[in-house]
Amino acid sequence: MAREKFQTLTEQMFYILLCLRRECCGTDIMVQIQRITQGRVSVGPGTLYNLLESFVQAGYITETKVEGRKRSYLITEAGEKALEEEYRRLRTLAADYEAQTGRGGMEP
Amino acid sequence: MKHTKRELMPLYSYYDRSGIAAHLADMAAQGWMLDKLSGWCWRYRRAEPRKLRFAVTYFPAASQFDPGPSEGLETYRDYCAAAGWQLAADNAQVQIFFNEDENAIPIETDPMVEFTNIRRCMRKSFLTSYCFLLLLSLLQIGFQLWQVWTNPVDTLSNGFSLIAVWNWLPLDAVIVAELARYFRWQRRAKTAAEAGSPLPELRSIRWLSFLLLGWSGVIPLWMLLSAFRQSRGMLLLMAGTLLYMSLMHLLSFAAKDALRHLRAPRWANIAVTFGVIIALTVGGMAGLLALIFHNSGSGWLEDHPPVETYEYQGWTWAAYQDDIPLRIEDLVAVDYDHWSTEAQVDSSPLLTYGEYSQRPRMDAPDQPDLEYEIVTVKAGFLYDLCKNDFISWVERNNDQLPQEYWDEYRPVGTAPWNADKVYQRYYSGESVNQFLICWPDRIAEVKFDWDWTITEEMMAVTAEKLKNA
Repeated sequence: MAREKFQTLTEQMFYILLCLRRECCGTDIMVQIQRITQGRVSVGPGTLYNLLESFVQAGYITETKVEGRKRSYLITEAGEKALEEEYRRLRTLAADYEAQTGRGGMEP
Repeated sequence: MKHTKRELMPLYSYYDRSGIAAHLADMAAQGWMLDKLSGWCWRYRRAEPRKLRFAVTYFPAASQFDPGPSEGLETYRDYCAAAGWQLAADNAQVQIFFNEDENAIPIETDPMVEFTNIRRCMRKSFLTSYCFLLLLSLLQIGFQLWQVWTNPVDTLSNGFSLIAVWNWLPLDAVIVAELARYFRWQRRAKTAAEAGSPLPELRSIRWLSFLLLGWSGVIPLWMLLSAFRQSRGMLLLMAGTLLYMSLMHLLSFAAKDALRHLRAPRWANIAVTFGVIIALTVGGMAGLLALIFHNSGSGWLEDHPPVETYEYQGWTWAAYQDDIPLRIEDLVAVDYDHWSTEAQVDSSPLLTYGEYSQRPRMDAPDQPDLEYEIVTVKAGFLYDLCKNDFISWVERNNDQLPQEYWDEYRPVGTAPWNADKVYQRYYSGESVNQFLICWPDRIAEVKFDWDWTITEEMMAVTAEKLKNA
């Protein structure tokens, strides 16, 4: 079951799905994640390949184009939902933190 | 200057990722770059000495029967190349990459994904083949132990049979140790992956591989030595069988590689390669049996060829002139000298077992005959097992007979035999001229001619000869 498999998304899963809101091929995803996170998060090529395979199987992304060995993907509705749920979960965590500590925003 | 270098049997387990990576990095620093990978040999080519990082990864969908890398594998390699990881060599699911950048992003950055991938690959290759091999060897060991239990004297005195019992045990020990290590690693790796920590290492046990390799060399030598002790024909037959098996191995590999070269699909390669193995096995077995049957009368394969053969009633009969410890002439006066005396002795570190007979030619049916077996028990704990082997053989059909028809050994007086225990065979309550004589480390079963009257003097002579044989 897809949801059981990805109950929560890891950082790497989150950013891969985020990148695939626009059609993108595997090698570009690695570059984009580096750019979006300013190098904070890196996805290794093996991990990327296996996660893309798992996401396709789970119906979170779909293969849109195959040009030779280059494959492009795009997020599906189920993937969008998973991404949004993860976002909400992270927001809830942040809100709980703020409520308990009285600190908010980017303060240390 | 050599441009290639080979490492025969490097003895690294393919799951020992850090061990292999460190070894390949050392080789690269010395100017040897990994070029080709197989189970038996790693080939290197001469290169500029470089400081490189190596990574061993697995691609579960790959197979040694694939004509080339699948689309998925090529995509995987492209991703790796985009991150600076170049393929050094591969062997089925094992992919070895190198990177010049010491700070390159590792190929695996998510421990759980990495763990799942390794587990999938191990289930598909290592675990399946190890479990199959373990099952096969356990069946083989079970069969051999059953042979020891049901026919201990024959089995334990024969070098071949003993090898058959022991040759699988070291392999089993290695398989069980490896499986236990893997499952322990799997448990620890899962915990680490769930915590997001790097996976623990699983290193090769190289000394165990050396031991197994040594044992694999000892077995054929032992087989050849046992064959040599039997006859020259058996030695040639055994050497031929070992050569044929090696040839079969090479041919199946050649068939697989040729089909890969011809870009045959995976299913066709599997079908043809296994077809070649089955055909060569069946053909080899048929050839072996034909050779044995063809030479069965010639004495070529026997440990003691007959001194002569003769025809009687359309059949060919063999006559032997082996030395035997007890002869008919030692027991009764006879006026006949065309005896065939045969001795077949098998020996192992546990037992020595001899079967002896003295028979007249087939054209002298009125002459007596004499048969006896002697077991010298070198390993004391086997004594009762051997003794019961003789007794249970005589009594083997009693459970299907009423008690009055039982065939059995009954204890009789020991004095004339100078033995610890003596049994005489009784069939349907009638004594027959067959005795089982038990000395401290020796057991003899004697079948005197059926119409002799066995006197105490004959018993004493028999005991004296057989005890000191």
